Amino acid sequence: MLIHICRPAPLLAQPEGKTLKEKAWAEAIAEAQKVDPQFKAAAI
Amino acid sequence: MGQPHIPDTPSSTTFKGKTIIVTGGNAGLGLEAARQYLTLHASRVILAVRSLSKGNEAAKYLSSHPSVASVNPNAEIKVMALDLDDYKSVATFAQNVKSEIDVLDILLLNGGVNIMNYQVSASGHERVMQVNYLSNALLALELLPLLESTAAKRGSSTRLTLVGSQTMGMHTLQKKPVLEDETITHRFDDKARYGNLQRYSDSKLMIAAFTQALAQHVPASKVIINNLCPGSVATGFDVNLPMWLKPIMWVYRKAKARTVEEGARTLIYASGVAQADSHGKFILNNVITE
Repeated sequence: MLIHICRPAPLLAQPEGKTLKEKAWAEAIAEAQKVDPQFKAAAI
Repeated sequence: MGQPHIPDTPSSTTFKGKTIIVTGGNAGLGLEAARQYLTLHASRVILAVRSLSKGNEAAKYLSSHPSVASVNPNAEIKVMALDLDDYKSVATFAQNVKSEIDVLDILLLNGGVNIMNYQVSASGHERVMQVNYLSNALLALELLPLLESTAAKRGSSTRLTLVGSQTMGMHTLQKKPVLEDETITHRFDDKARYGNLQRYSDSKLMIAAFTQALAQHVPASKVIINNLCPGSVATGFDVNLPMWLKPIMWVYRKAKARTVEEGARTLIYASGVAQADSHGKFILNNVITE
């Protein structure tokens, strides 16, 4: 922990990373719509 | 092994006429980034802070700081309430920004936390993930239209920069992935799969993932979106760590950490110097990585 890990996360470059990013996007939009009824996903 | 030196911000850099929001702007890197924006002639800097009294103290500090007062005495320094622990506060803050601010040139999402025991946020999620990732994602989405409309007015890209960490390489998703049929929030809310030493890294991995995802939906011609690591910086960020870890981190930071002034230059770089080639990318030591 005291040693810096001087590399970007390789996970995001893998197929699992693509799934993670897609999920992150979909869930962020869903959370925004839940929290703010006026949030318009179409505006993104 | 030390950290590479972060060079001075190019002297041609200017934020004249710009409106900038800095979350977590009352202390540490956020406060110093605000000072540097102001010394580079930012017209309006908004400190988005949990404590309005601390925010007001920070605003006084900035306006009276010789480096700001001498070059930018008429800058507006505004303090607005934002508690990243609570989705409601994020939504209210975003609404207030949209009703009070007509342009937004830079949104610097710097606010974050590192605690090493499982806590639940006001919005019901694991606290580190809430503050560092979920609320920042919501805030980015809420203020994106304002960033885009500002870009259209200016005829040039506005900026969204999310402060991450290279420690995201120590995330737990390789060994304990998000299952196919579960949501990311379910995975990270699950106490059984919580790791106190790695949760911070998990949250910063999600910031990087969100940065990449958002950049796929928003062209750099409208908003340049990137993510950076400021390196190890001598701030009070370790205040919430367990007692046994504090002296270790204190010694480590004394030996290895960048000054706040140097660390904040990485935030200025990502949000104001790096260009469209940083869109969706992670910046480490002022170098764009893949």
